[in-house]
Amino acid sequence: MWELHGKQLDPSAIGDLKPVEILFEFEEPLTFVCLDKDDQKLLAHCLCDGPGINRYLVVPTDDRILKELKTGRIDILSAIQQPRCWIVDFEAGWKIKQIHLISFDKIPGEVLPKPGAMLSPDFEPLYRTIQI
Amino acid sequence: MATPIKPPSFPDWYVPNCPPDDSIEADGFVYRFVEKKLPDEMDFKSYHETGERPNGKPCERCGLSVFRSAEDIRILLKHLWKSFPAKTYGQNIVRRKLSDTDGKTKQTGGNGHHTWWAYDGVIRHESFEFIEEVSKD
Repeated sequence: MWELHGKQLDPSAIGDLKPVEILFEFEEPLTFVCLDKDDQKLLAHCLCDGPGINRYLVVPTDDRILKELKTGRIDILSAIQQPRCWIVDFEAGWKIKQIHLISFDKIPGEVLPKPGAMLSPDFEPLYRTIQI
Repeated sequence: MATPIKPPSFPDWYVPNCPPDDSIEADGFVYRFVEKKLPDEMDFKSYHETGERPNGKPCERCGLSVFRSAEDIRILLKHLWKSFPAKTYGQNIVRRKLSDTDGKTKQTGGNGHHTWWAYDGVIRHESFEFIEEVSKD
Protein backbone atom coordinates (compact mmCIF):
# COMPACT_ATOMS: atom_id res chain seq x y z
CA MET A 1 0.00 0.00 0.00
CA TRP A 2 1.25 3.50 -0.73
CA GLU A 3 2.65 5.64 2.05
CA LEU A 4 0.10 8.06 3.37
CA HIS A 5 0.73 11.76 3.58
CA GLY A 6 -1.65 14.50 4.63
CA LYS A 7 -2.89 15.25 8.09
CA GLN A 8 -3.30 12.22 10.32
CA LEU A 9 -6.37 12.41 12.52
CA ASP A 10 -7.49 10.61 15.64
CA PRO A 11 -9.18 7.33 14.59
CA SER A 12 -12.45 8.49 16.14
CA ALA A 13 -12.29 11.93 14.56
CA ILE A 14 -15.10 11.61 12.02
CA GLY A 15 -17.19 8.69 13.28
CA ASP A 16 -17.08 4.91 13.47
CA LEU A 17 -17.61 4.69 9.69
CA LYS A 18 -19.23 1.26 9.78
CA PRO A 19 -21.34 0.46 6.72
CA VAL A 20 -24.99 1.51 7.03
CA GLU A 21 -25.80 0.74 3.40
CA ILE A 22 -23.69 -1.54 1.20
CA LEU A 23 -23.77 -0.39 -2.41
CA PHE A 24 -21.47 -3.02 -3.89
CA GLU A 25 -19.80 -6.03 -2.36
CA PHE A 26 -17.76 -8.98 -3.54
CA GLU A 27 -16.44 -11.11 -0.70
CA GLU A 28 -16.51 -7.92 1.41
CA PRO A 29 -18.20 -4.51 1.28
CA LEU A 30 -16.28 -2.54 -1.36
CA THR A 31 -18.47 0.54 -1.79
CA PHE A 32 -20.79 1.63 0.97
CA VAL A 33 -22.48 4.47 2.80
CA CYS A 34 -21.48 5.31 6.35
CA LEU A 35 -22.19 8.20 8.69
CA ASP A 36 -20.10 10.87 10.33
CA LYS A 37 -20.52 12.02 13.93
CA ASP A 38 -23.39 14.30 12.89
CA ASP A 39 -25.16 11.45 11.06
CA GLN A 40 -24.30 13.00 7.70
CA LYS A 41 -23.72 10.56 4.87
CA LEU A 42 -20.28 9.60 3.69
CA LEU A 43 -19.37 7.42 0.73
CA ALA A 44 -16.58 4.85 1.17
CA HIS A 45 -14.83 3.11 -1.73
CA CYS A 46 -12.13 0.48 -1.36
CA LEU A 47 -8.82 1.44 -2.94
CA CYS A 48 -6.47 -1.37 -1.97
CA ASP A 49 -5.57 -3.81 0.76
CA GLY A 50 -2.61 -5.07 2.74
CA PRO A 51 -2.08 -7.71 5.42
CA GLY A 52 -5.17 -7.50 7.62
CA ILE A 53 -5.97 -4.00 6.35
CA ASN A 54 -8.37 -2.55 3.83
CA ARG A 55 -7.81 1.02 2.68
CA TYR A 56 -10.82 3.10 1.69
CA LEU A 57 -11.38 6.56 0.31
CA VAL A 58 -14.15 8.24 2.32
CA VAL A 59 -15.86 11.41 1.08
CA PRO A 60 -18.89 13.48 1.98
CA THR A 61 -21.90 12.67 -0.14
CA ASP A 62 -25.60 13.35 -0.40
CA ASP A 63 -28.81 11.68 -1.53
CA ARG A 64 -28.59 13.17 -5.04
CA ILE A 65 -25.14 11.76 -5.67
CA LEU A 66 -26.10 8.40 -4.19
CA LYS A 67 -29.23 8.20 -6.34
CA GLU A 68 -27.28 8.95 -9.50
CA LEU A 69 -24.61 6.41 -8.55
CA LYS A 70 -27.14 3.70 -7.71
CA THR A 71 -29.11 4.24 -10.90
CA GLY A 72 -26.04 4.18 -13.11
CA ARG A 73 -26.21 7.84 -14.16
CA ILE A 74 -22.72 8.65 -12.87
CA ASP A 75 -19.57 6.61 -12.56
CA ILE A 76 -17.78 5.89 -9.30
CA LEU A 77 -15.06 8.46 -9.96
CA SER A 78 -17.62 11.25 -10.30
CA ALA A 79 -19.16 10.28 -6.97
CA ILE A 80 -15.91 10.12 -5.03
CA GLN A 81 -14.04 13.08 -6.51
CA GLN A 82 -14.79 15.56 -3.76
CA PRO A 83 -12.73 18.51 -2.48
CA ARG A 84 -12.37 17.00 0.97
CA CYS A 85 -11.60 13.37 1.55
CA TRP A 86 -10.12 10.94 3.99
CA ILE A 87 -8.08 7.79 3.56
CA VAL A 88 -9.14 5.26 6.17
CA ASP A 89 -7.38 2.00 6.99
CA PHE A 90 -9.76 -0.55 8.50
CA GLU A 91 -8.87 -3.69 10.38
CA ALA A 92 -11.23 -6.59 11.17
CA GLY A 93 -14.52 -5.55 12.74
CA TRP A 94 -14.26 -2.17 10.96
CA LYS A 95 -11.78 -1.02 13.56
CA ILE A 96 -10.11 2.13 12.28
CA LYS A 97 -6.36 1.82 12.34
CA GLN A 98 -5.61 5.25 10.90
CA ILE A 99 -7.25 8.17 9.11
CA HIS A 100 -5.56 10.80 7.00
CA LEU A 101 -7.18 13.98 5.68
CA ILE A 102 -6.01 14.35 2.12
CA SER A 103 -6.73 16.30 -1.02
CA PHE A 104 -8.03 14.22 -3.90
CA ASP A 105 -5.17 15.14 -6.21
CA LYS A 106 -2.69 13.53 -3.81
CA ILE A 107 -4.21 10.06 -4.27
CA PRO A 108 -2.15 7.92 -6.68
CA GLY A 109 -4.04 7.57 -9.94
CA GLU A 110 -3.40 3.85 -10.16
CA VAL A 111 -5.56 3.10 -7.10
CA LEU A 112 -8.58 5.08 -8.26
CA PRO A 113 -11.44 3.58 -10.25
CA LYS A 114 -11.11 4.08 -13.99
CA PRO A 115 -13.32 6.68 -15.69
CA GLY A 116 -16.53 4.95 -16.69
CA ALA A 117 -16.33 2.32 -13.94
CA MET A 118 -19.88 2.09 -12.65
CA LEU A 119 -21.20 0.93 -9.31
CA SER A 120 -22.50 -2.33 -10.71
CA PRO A 121 -21.36 -4.53 -13.62
CA ASP A 122 -24.98 -4.35 -14.77
CA PHE A 123 -24.57 -0.65 -15.62
CA GLU A 124 -22.95 0.76 -18.72
CA PRO A 125 -21.56 4.31 -18.74
CA LEU A 126 -23.99 6.82 -20.30
CA TYR A 127 -21.28 8.50 -22.32
CA ARG A 128 -19.35 7.00 -25.19
CA THR A 129 -16.32 8.23 -27.03
CA ILE A 130 -16.36 7.86 -30.76
CA GLN A 131 -13.09 7.76 -32.65
CA ILE A 132 -13.38 9.33 -36.06
CA MET B 1 -18.46 -56.31 13.28
CA ALA B 2 -18.55 -53.61 10.57
CA THR B 3 -16.90 -50.31 11.33
CA PRO B 4 -19.50 -47.54 11.22
CA ILE B 5 -18.88 -45.02 8.46
CA LYS B 6 -18.28 -41.58 9.85
CA PRO B 7 -20.43 -38.99 8.08
CA PRO B 8 -18.55 -36.15 6.39
CA SER B 9 -18.01 -33.08 8.46
CA PHE B 10 -16.65 -29.59 8.04
CA PRO B 11 -13.30 -28.41 9.41
CA ASP B 12 -13.32 -27.67 13.11
CA TRP B 13 -12.04 -24.13 12.45
CA TYR B 14 -15.31 -23.15 10.78
CA VAL B 15 -17.27 -20.46 12.60
CA PRO B 16 -20.45 -21.64 14.37
CA ASN B 17 -23.55 -22.40 12.30
CA CYS B 18 -21.55 -22.63 9.11
CA PRO B 19 -22.40 -23.50 6.40
CA PRO B 20 -25.92 -22.11 6.64
CA ASP B 21 -28.91 -24.46 6.87
CA ASP B 22 -30.14 -23.38 3.43
CA SER B 23 -26.93 -24.44 1.68
CA ILE B 24 -27.33 -27.43 -0.60
CA GLU B 25 -25.24 -30.47 -1.46
CA ALA B 26 -22.49 -29.60 -3.92
CA ASP B 27 -23.38 -30.60 -7.45
CA GLY B 28 -22.41 -29.74 -11.02
CA PHE B 29 -19.68 -27.63 -12.52
CA VAL B 30 -18.25 -24.69 -10.61
CA TYR B 31 -15.86 -22.10 -11.95
CA ARG B 32 -13.33 -20.04 -10.02
CA PHE B 33 -10.78 -17.38 -10.91
CA VAL B 34 -7.25 -17.89 -9.64
CA GLU B 35 -3.74 -16.51 -10.06
CA LYS B 36 -2.19 -19.53 -11.76
CA LYS B 37 -3.24 -21.60 -14.77
CA LEU B 38 -2.42 -24.72 -12.79
CA PRO B 39 -3.91 -23.89 -9.41
CA ASP B 40 -2.41 -25.24 -6.26
CA GLU B 41 -3.38 -25.46 -2.62
CA MET B 42 -2.75 -21.74 -2.06
CA ASP B 43 -5.35 -20.78 -4.68
CA PHE B 44 -7.90 -22.68 -2.63
CA LYS B 45 -7.23 -21.40 0.85
CA SER B 46 -10.21 -19.67 2.44
CA TYR B 47 -9.92 -16.11 3.70
CA HIS B 48 -10.46 -17.44 7.20
CA GLU B 49 -7.24 -19.40 6.75
CA THR B 50 -5.26 -16.59 5.11
CA GLY B 51 -6.59 -13.65 7.14
CA GLU B 52 -7.60 -11.71 4.05
CA ARG B 53 -10.91 -9.88 3.58
CA PRO B 54 -11.14 -9.25 7.34
CA ASN B 55 -14.56 -7.63 7.03
CA GLY B 56 -16.15 -10.22 4.82
CA LYS B 57 -19.03 -12.30 6.21
CA PRO B 58 -17.51 -14.78 8.72
CA CYS B 59 -19.16 -17.91 7.33
CA GLU B 60 -18.46 -17.00 3.72
CA ARG B 61 -14.82 -16.41 4.66
CA CYS B 62 -14.66 -20.11 5.62
CA GLY B 63 -15.71 -21.12 2.10
CA LEU B 64 -14.47 -20.42 -1.39
CA SER B 65 -15.98 -18.14 -4.03
CA VAL B 66 -17.17 -20.05 -7.08
CA PHE B 67 -19.46 -19.35 -10.00
CA ARG B 68 -21.79 -21.37 -12.20
CA SER B 69 -20.49 -20.05 -15.50
CA ALA B 70 -17.31 -18.65 -17.01
CA GLU B 71 -19.31 -15.72 -18.40
CA ASP B 72 -20.30 -14.65 -14.90
CA ILE B 73 -16.61 -14.49 -14.03
CA ARG B 74 -15.67 -12.58 -17.19
CA ILE B 75 -18.27 -9.91 -16.47
CA LEU B 76 -17.32 -9.61 -12.81
CA LEU B 77 -13.56 -9.52 -13.41
CA LYS B 78 -13.84 -6.73 -15.98
CA HIS B 79 -15.86 -4.77 -13.46
CA LEU B 80 -13.51 -5.43 -10.53
CA TRP B 81 -10.42 -4.50 -12.53
CA LYS B 82 -11.97 -1.18 -13.57
CA SER B 83 -13.47 -0.30 -10.22
CA PHE B 84 -10.70 -1.55 -7.91
CA PRO B 85 -7.54 -1.53 -10.05
CA ALA B 86 -5.15 -1.85 -7.12
CA LYS B 87 -6.80 -4.98 -5.70
CA THR B 88 -5.62 -8.35 -6.95
CA TYR B 89 -8.07 -10.64 -8.73
CA GLY B 90 -6.64 -13.61 -10.62
CA GLN B 91 -7.32 -13.73 -14.34
CA ASN B 92 -7.34 -17.48 -14.91
CA ILE B 93 -10.64 -19.35 -14.91
CA VAL B 94 -10.61 -22.96 -13.75
CA ARG B 95 -13.43 -25.48 -13.54
CA ARG B 96 -14.36 -28.63 -11.67
CA LYS B 97 -17.40 -30.84 -11.32
CA LEU B 98 -18.49 -31.15 -7.71
CA SER B 99 -20.55 -33.89 -6.08
CA ASP B 100 -22.26 -34.35 -2.75
CA THR B 101 -19.07 -35.76 -1.25
CA ASP B 102 -17.35 -32.39 -1.80
CA GLY B 103 -19.43 -30.34 0.61
CA LYS B 104 -22.14 -27.73 0.22
CA THR B 105 -22.81 -24.61 -1.83
CA LYS B 106 -25.11 -21.62 -1.79
CA GLN B 107 -25.59 -18.53 -3.95
CA THR B 108 -24.23 -15.77 -1.75
CA GLY B 109 -24.08 -12.76 -4.06
CA GLY B 110 -25.15 -11.26 -7.34
CA ASN B 111 -23.68 -12.02 -10.74
CA GLY B 112 -23.71 -15.78 -10.14
CA HIS B 113 -21.48 -15.65 -7.05
CA HIS B 114 -21.71 -18.81 -4.93
CA THR B 115 -19.79 -20.05 -1.92
CA TRP B 116 -18.48 -23.63 -1.71
CA TRP B 117 -17.86 -25.04 1.76
CA ALA B 118 -15.70 -28.11 1.35
CA TYR B 119 -15.88 -31.07 3.73
CA ASP B 120 -12.86 -31.74 5.89
CA GLY B 121 -10.45 -33.92 3.96
CA VAL B 122 -11.52 -32.74 0.50
CA ILE B 123 -8.48 -31.74 -1.54
CA ARG B 124 -9.98 -28.52 -2.77
CA HIS B 125 -7.68 -27.69 -5.69
CA GLU B 126 -7.71 -31.21 -7.07
CA SER B 127 -9.35 -31.81 -10.46
CA PHE B 128 -9.76 -28.15 -11.35
CA GLU B 129 -8.91 -27.71 -15.03
CA PHE B 130 -7.80 -24.52 -16.74
CA ILE B 131 -10.48 -23.02 -18.98
CA GLU B 132 -9.26 -19.60 -20.10
CA GLU B 133 -7.29 -16.51 -19.20
CA VAL B 134 -9.43 -13.39 -19.12
CA SER B 135 -7.82 -10.45 -20.85
CA LYS B 136 -7.47 -7.25 -18.85
CA ASP B 137 -7.83 -5.15 -22.00
